Amino acid sequence: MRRRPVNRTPLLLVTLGVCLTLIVLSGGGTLRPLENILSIPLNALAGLFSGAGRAVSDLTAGQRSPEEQAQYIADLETQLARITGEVVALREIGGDYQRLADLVNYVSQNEGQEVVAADVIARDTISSLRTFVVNRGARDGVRVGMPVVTGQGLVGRVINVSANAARAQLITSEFSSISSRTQTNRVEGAVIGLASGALRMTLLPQGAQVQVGDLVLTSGLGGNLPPDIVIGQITSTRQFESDIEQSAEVRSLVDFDRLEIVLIVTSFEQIDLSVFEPTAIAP
Amino acid sequence: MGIFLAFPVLMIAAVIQAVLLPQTPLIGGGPNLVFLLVMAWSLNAPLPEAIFWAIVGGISSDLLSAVPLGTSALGLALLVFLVNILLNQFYGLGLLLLGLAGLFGTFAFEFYRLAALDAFQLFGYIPADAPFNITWGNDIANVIAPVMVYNVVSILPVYGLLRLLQRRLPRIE
Repeated sequence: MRRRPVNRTPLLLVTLGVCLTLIVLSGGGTLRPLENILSIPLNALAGLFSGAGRAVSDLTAGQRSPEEQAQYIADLETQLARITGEVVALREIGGDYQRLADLVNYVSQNEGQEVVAADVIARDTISSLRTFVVNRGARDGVRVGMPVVTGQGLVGRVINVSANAARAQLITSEFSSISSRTQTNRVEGAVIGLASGALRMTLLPQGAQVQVGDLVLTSGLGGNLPPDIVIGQITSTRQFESDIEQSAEVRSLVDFDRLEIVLIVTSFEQIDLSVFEPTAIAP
Repeated sequence: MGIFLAFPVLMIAAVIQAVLLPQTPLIGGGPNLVFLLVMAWSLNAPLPEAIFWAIVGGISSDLLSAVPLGTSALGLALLVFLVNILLNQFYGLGLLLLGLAGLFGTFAFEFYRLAALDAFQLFGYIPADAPFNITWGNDIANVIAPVMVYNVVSILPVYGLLRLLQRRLPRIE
């Protein structure tokens, strides 16, 4: 394309004048406000592009030779294995923390009680017997009959003690019977374990008002357990006119299948009531 | 029409130059997009329009740089004048001129910018707390030479794209 002749000299002079004026004024700082205004659209564009730029940078940074890729994958696998181990350990610590927090909570709410924390180290091989072994025994002040609790409530009672271990029976055992009462109406009864692993409160007087949702606590009657330890919550009641008593299903807040740390209340001693039992008087 | 096109095209080019190219793993930083666009546009545009492109492109570059406003605009405008003179002297050598602009034009422009930077430091136009240590031999080898290579390689595709665009624009006589 042949161009039309343009008189270049005035254009050159104007261009030079404009550019040199800009340089002098800008160098002196006079144009700073104008530069700030002109920079606004450019900075907005730069903001838009910087995200894309990072993506491009990440993409190109990921380009490696096959050997480097293999090494990179191996390193990542090593890191993954290490981190997986750490995650497992941290989850364990988190679980322990929660359990200990519950126990601390129990201790702080029952300041009068002396307790020993114990790890559950074994469960009964005959699961229907529902007993477990803890790593605290006579050396730690554990005695037969002492209650075993967690932050969620009553777990069971110590039934055998060795020097450094003790066996406890869960309250869900069929052989367990605990004197108890409801929290609101103070209705007394006995919580027994069922073959299914559930709990039932029996011996409730026929006319007594038993509310669903009410908490069931130990009553302390019989001297086998201290009073006011939470056993569970009433989920339903059964009442037949033909019966002389009513019963209620109780759900414990304790997860008996996942017991790991428990507290043994060592400040409690069973009260021996045998002296009050009637005996044959010698003629 | 080309005047209006200068703003979006050159502003985006300047931003890409300042934001995207430094993040790509190109040795020496990559081509000077604003320079390429201004040179390629000036080959088939009227001189006033080409000068306008040079000033807009230069100011866009300077706004994203530490040099005073107008520094790049002056260098680009002078190069556009030179290209215009050569085009009128050697009619029909457009593409050859394009290659020469990519090679020697790049060298002249980048050299000028470094020299201007040095001079502005001397005159106190650039804050003393942000000094630029220019070592000429090192900068020519590591800054200017790579840009020359990238510009020579890129100028023909850029010219082709802009030529397509110029042909589609309504002609204002």
